[in-house]
Amino acid sequence: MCSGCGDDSGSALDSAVLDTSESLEVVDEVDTQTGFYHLELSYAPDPPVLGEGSMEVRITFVNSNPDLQGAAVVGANVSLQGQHTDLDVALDAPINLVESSLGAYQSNVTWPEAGLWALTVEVGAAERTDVARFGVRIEAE
Amino acid sequence: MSFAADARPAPMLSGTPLGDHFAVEALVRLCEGRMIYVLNDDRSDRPTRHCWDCGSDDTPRGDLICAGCEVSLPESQKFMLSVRWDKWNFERQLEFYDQELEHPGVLWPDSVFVEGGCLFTIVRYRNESLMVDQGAPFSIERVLHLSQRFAGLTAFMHRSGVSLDTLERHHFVYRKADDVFLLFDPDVAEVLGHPVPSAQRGWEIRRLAAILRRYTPVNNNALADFLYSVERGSFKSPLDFGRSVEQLFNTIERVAAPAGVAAMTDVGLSRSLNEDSWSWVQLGDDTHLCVVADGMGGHEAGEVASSLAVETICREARDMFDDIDEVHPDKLEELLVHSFQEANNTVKGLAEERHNDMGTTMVAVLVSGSTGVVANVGDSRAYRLRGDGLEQISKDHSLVARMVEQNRLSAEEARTHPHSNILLRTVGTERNVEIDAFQVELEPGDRVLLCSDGLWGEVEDSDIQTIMTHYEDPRTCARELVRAAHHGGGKDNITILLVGTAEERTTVTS
Repeated sequence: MCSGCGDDSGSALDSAVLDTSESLEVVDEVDTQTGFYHLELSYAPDPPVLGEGSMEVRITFVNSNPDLQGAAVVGANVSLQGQHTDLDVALDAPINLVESSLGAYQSNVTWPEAGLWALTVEVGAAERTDVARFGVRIEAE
Repeated sequence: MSFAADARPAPMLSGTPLGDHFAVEALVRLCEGRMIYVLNDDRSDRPTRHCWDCGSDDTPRGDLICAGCEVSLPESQKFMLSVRWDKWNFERQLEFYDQELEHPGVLWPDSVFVEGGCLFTIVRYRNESLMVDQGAPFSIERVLHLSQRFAGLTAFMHRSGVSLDTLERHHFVYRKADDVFLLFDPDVAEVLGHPVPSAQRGWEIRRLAAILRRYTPVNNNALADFLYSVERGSFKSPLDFGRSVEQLFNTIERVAAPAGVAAMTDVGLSRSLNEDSWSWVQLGDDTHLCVVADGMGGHEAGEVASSLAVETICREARDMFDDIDEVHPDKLEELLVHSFQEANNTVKGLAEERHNDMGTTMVAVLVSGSTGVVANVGDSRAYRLRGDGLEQISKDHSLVARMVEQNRLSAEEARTHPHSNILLRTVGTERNVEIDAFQVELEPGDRVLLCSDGLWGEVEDSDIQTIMTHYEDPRTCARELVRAAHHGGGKDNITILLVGTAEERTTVTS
């Protein structure tokens, strides 16, 4: 829900400002909000540093169906939004990640500030649009 | 060729070590008779790394320069894996790979080995995607390019003494960077010590034509007819086929494809054979017939029945449409029902000839401007999406549908009822079957969805509506509907056919 107007019709990425009031864990693996997808994150350089870099999100199914368990989610719409947890700085706009290999989505990311960032990844596939939220620490060079 | 579903090994989880050098990254696809995975060579349990250029295993794990040939090693190399469990074919496949043939149209494996009762064929991954994930149609150019390249490849194989067995979509991958389709772990029929005899050289081309015809745009009857003739055996030699395709490059009319029409079929997650079929054909400038059928009766029956039914109805409708003097809804309905009945009687005739119980459901929509006519027998469905509202047009001829009508079951109970698969009417089980027909008014922007029960049995109507509303591109929408059916369980074959109306069918250059 948008904290400004109370509208709850849009997705989490409709809001330009992420709620960072809850504590964030810096992780490289994360499950989505409904637990339907599992995301594995990797950065280049690793650990990520201030300035230009890239990140990759590998998405697999977490499913009660044993045939789908661990299967790659190919051809999904994946976007990323980020905000610094201590400063009023955000990534310019939601970044669309491009599928660089089967089930792996990649984009260049420019980190404008060092410190802890709250990232939200939205995964759109079939009838589900699922959200994962996690933290990443950007090192000063 | 079919495989018992229970013979398929359990999927390997991420991180599972494989062979000497590989680890599983993720399962990508369950197809008929095989599983496709992405692998990497990130084996932290090994003290050294393998060099894929020189074969050296002497490089310490932390080093990025090969100790053998001094090339720089990527941190992790990705691979694509095809896993087969049809043991009676292993020997032939291994013999084929022993030939070490080289052709740019084939992904030649970096490693082939048998482990745990499965044959593993591993190729270096270079951003390919699977053809089974591609909805129809392709552009005319792509269909022609694929035909021509494959003709050359087949001729090469034949010269090398190799003939292929079944050829299916899951034998092809698409490499976007080069805009080419490549053969990946094909089913090999024979490896001879001499060139394949001339009399045995037509099979692969026929199979390819059967695949490509499905990817031909709905309004290109000329190309579809050409491929249909190839499928029926009009070419005995791949080279002759290639020459004819070359002529088509110059002569075939580049008609813009209707943008709102797309289709996709998928075996699902449980079955080993896809018995669904679909087809489409242009009858007039703004008149198309689209059909989905879900066959039953098992191998050599279900897929034959559904395929024969969709071919027959399309052929009959084309023949009849030429004689129509006025495109009126009643005339269109008459044409559709007559063609449908011809299809029914043709399947019934073949079933009698073969002494089996083949049959199929079938749903068809004939769209002409703002008029739609739907006809169905069985439980494959037609829906209309208008704005945000999804409405089922067809009525299921199933036991549970009747029980719902009689208020003995709720619609929700019907979905999971143990007798949900019992049909009261099917195509091919009796002559002159009763066919339901519905005239439907179509407004600009409306979309019609035809689908087999592999979709609606797994995905609630409300979710189908959400997906159709969300994904405007019909090929993407078809793929997402298939994915939703997988999410739901994927217990049956899934076939989707989407037809847009006038506003949607603004043309694109093919």
